[in-house]
Amino acid sequence: MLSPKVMRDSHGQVAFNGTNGSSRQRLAREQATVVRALHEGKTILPGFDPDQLRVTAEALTAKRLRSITKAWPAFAAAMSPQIAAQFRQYAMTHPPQAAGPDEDGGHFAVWLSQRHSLPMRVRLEFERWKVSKDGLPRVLLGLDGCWLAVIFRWGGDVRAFRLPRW
Amino acid sequence: MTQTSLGLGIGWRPELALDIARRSDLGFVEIIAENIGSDSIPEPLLELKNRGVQIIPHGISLSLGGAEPIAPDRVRHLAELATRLDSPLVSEHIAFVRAGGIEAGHLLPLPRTRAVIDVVVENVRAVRNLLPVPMALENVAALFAWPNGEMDEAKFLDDILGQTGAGLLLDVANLWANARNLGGDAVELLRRLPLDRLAYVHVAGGEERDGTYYDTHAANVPEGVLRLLSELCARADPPGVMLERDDRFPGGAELNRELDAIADAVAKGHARFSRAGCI
Repeated sequence: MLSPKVMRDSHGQVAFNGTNGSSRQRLAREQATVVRALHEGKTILPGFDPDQLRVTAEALTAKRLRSITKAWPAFAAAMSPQIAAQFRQYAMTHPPQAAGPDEDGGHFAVWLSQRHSLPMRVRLEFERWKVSKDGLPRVLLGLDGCWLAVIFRWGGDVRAFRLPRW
Repeated sequence: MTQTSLGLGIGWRPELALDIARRSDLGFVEIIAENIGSDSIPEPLLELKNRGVQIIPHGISLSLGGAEPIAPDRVRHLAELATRLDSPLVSEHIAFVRAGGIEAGHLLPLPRTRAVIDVVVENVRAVRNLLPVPMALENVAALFAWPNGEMDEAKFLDDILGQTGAGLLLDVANLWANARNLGGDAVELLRRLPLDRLAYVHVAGGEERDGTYYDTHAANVPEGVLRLLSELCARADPPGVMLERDDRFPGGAELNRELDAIADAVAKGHARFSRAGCI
């Protein structure tokens, strides 16, 4: 750690010492309360202006979604225009992934797939992402449209072939 | 902190690399440190460096205003970039970006209290010990205010910078946005900021929706921000002034107009500055 006054205890939990120990602990609690409230869309906090918190929460969610669409444009294009509404639901119970918007988008896709039957193009992008992560090939069957897709990694790329082709 | 002369600058983004390379009067560019690997610096940046354009690594994830410990790896990355790019300084924010183990996903404002100043000062001092160059700290845009504040933003910044010796990265767009959204007089705040610590200045555009101004960096710089920049330059001589544009990137001609507008606003302010006998 950078400061001898800011350490982790034997359980790996943050422990604050020194002249600013109690100030840090209080600030930690207050900041954690605000960050959780913003992500969960809870805009009533003692002393805060609820309209300001609501605007901030909406801005954070919009920025997060924008980051995902920039990192993963194919997935966002496949989902649009439902993605914003779906994402707002997801964001309230899932804070951003520390690893960044690509992981954030992937976790969102997992959540979607557990709740909805994904449209074919969305499912295809989701499976491409999974192949890019673990390198394992996927075979998808679409009984609704009678199609078969094979997704695999070839060199540094992820490729997909679908029969019949669209 | 001894200020380095920087001139006109811009936030370097891959989408703008070609237009930035074509602009011959830039004295510096700023890079988002988290987006550039110290072992994989893009060729366009190295070309800029070779032709004498200074490069400033700008961090967005240290969370200097946070209660959680600062991750040494993040500081080391900032330091490595500064060394590889011969940067005159690095910069970060007076804000927090994570708490309770959760990423906020944005730079959030701090409670303006003496106790929080002590925490920020302790964090900044610890970070500065690991940096090979000076650091400047930026004021952030805020869409909400903490209750029970003990002072205004000018006093808050002045105290932190005075106790740490850090430079001031003054974002005039953020000052302007905060006055619109949370109240206050941006020019009055400007008068009481520690302008003798000015390292450089950020200028950016945003969007107004439903009565709130969003500092998106995705639109052209509004007239109000340019006027505030002129007000600043009528009172001080910033070593550098730069444009931030992060999204909905304009074409080359429009980008040049944005940079020219900033240069004009600076010149207007300086004209008043010299008439007042300040230089």
